[in-house]
Amino acid sequence: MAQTVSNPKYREIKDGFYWTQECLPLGTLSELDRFDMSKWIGADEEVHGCQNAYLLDGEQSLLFDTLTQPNGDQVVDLLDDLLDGDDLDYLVISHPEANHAGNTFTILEAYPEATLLVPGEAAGHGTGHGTEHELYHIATDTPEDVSELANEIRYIGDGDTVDLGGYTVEFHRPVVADHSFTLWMTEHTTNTLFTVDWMGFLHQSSNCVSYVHELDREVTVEQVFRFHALAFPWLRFSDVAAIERGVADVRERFDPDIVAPAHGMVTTENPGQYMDLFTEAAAYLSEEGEHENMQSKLEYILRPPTEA
Amino acid sequence: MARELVDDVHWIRNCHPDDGRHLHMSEYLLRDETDTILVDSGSSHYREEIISEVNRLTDGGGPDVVLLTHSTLPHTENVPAFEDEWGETETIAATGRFPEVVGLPDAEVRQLNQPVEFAGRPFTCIHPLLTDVTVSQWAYDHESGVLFTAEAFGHYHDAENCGQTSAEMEGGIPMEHIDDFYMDKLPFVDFLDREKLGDAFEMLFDILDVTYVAPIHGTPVAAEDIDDYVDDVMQALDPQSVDS
Repeated sequence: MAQTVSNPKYREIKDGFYWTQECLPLGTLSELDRFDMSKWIGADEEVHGCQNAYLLDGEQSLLFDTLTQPNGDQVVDLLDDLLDGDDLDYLVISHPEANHAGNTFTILEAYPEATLLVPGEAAGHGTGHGTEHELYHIATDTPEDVSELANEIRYIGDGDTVDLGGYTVEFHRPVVADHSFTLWMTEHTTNTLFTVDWMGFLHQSSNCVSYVHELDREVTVEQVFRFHALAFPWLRFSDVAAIERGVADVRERFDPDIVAPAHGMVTTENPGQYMDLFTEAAAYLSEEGEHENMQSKLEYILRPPTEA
Repeated sequence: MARELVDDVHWIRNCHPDDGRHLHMSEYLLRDETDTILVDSGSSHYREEIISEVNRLTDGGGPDVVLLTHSTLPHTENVPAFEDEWGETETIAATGRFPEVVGLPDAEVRQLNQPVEFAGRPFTCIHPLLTDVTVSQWAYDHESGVLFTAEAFGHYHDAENCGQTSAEMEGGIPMEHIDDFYMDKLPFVDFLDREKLGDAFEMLFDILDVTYVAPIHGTPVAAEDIDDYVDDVMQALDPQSVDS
């Protein structure tokens, strides 16, 4: 089966708050038979992964993430339509990974007045190597790296806000993340938490761009498990109690009404229910890193070529 | 800029300055009588130096295969320039599907967990035991015993240690440089069960006969130093050791 990234679809969550999504067809259950997905996917249905980006259009506009390079032209066309001739004021990249930021320079070229907002420092205990911005060509002090672009680049960090007029966003050090230069975002008016790589899940081809409560079947822990096994390999070696504390921290600090992930469906009703699903999935994932499981797996996959 | 680690395996490195320290930006070139494999493509900041060095090591022929260990900058960035320099090259992406999503529309996808051959040379690629983003792979070269580990086993280094292997660094790799790298690089250390991860490392190095651990952002670690270095990495992954 040919696998092609779908063109972006979109829907309006609130007035001027848009969710855009491109889907990655991953095949049918029979093609993915190494996974036990029978609990949530039919025999002839196609499994999708997805990438999301979000546009907030108040008095000023802000795009959070870019979708991916195969859709570069389509993303610019969609922005042109949604902005209805207005400029894009801010482009935010949650982290400089291709599936989140791959169209950064395409969008900046299309909107030369837009300001690029990028994470200023690492999300972990360190400050982040100073080289990181240079290596990703997003350093404010090395304009020669982006000499063709007129755009301003600005570093943002935990607690920084941008008032768009009608919408106000705030940036946060992420609780659950993979790449060191990652920022979460909240939008105050709608109490939305943008969780980037966290809280995603694979979906059925019948359920693209659907709110979680609109899906034609319940989200299962299997879906959440499969996504997070792909997105966060370190969960195999995680401390379940620490994960539970992290999720509790998210609930206490953010208590969102809407959760808008980069790789799943938007949750507008009872987001806590899906945080519980993640916690359950993380517990299963941590079992994969147990000695017995890892030993048999490593002995098999690292077998000499002569035994293949 | 390039030196031979073991027979047929050359370490190509540049050092990027970082607040008074250095960070290695490495590629590895594996060359036998007929074929050449280049592990990673490096940063555009060092494009000319890398191409020059590969030309020197291959008599201008360039690589037959470019094997990528990671799908972000600075690992992938020079692939198009390589094709301009040496023509169409078989490129293996560090992703299992949709290489176009990571900006490599012509690349082949990775094949994990089974012995495979690149330019007739046997490798096994696995999902890293420790990585930041998932679009990454470790590659074990069965002929040389070198394990290429992408972001894992990296560290900063001082200017006087540029180009040295672990065996050549007097006093070994400074703990603070390992600490700083992991605290900068990995945002999830608070969630790790280090005993479980350390156990997996021990199993891996018991199974494989590794001559060198070859990171992209660190010093190649010689076989005799691996056990101690893994202990240092596990200590570095303890955030308490930094915060206290």
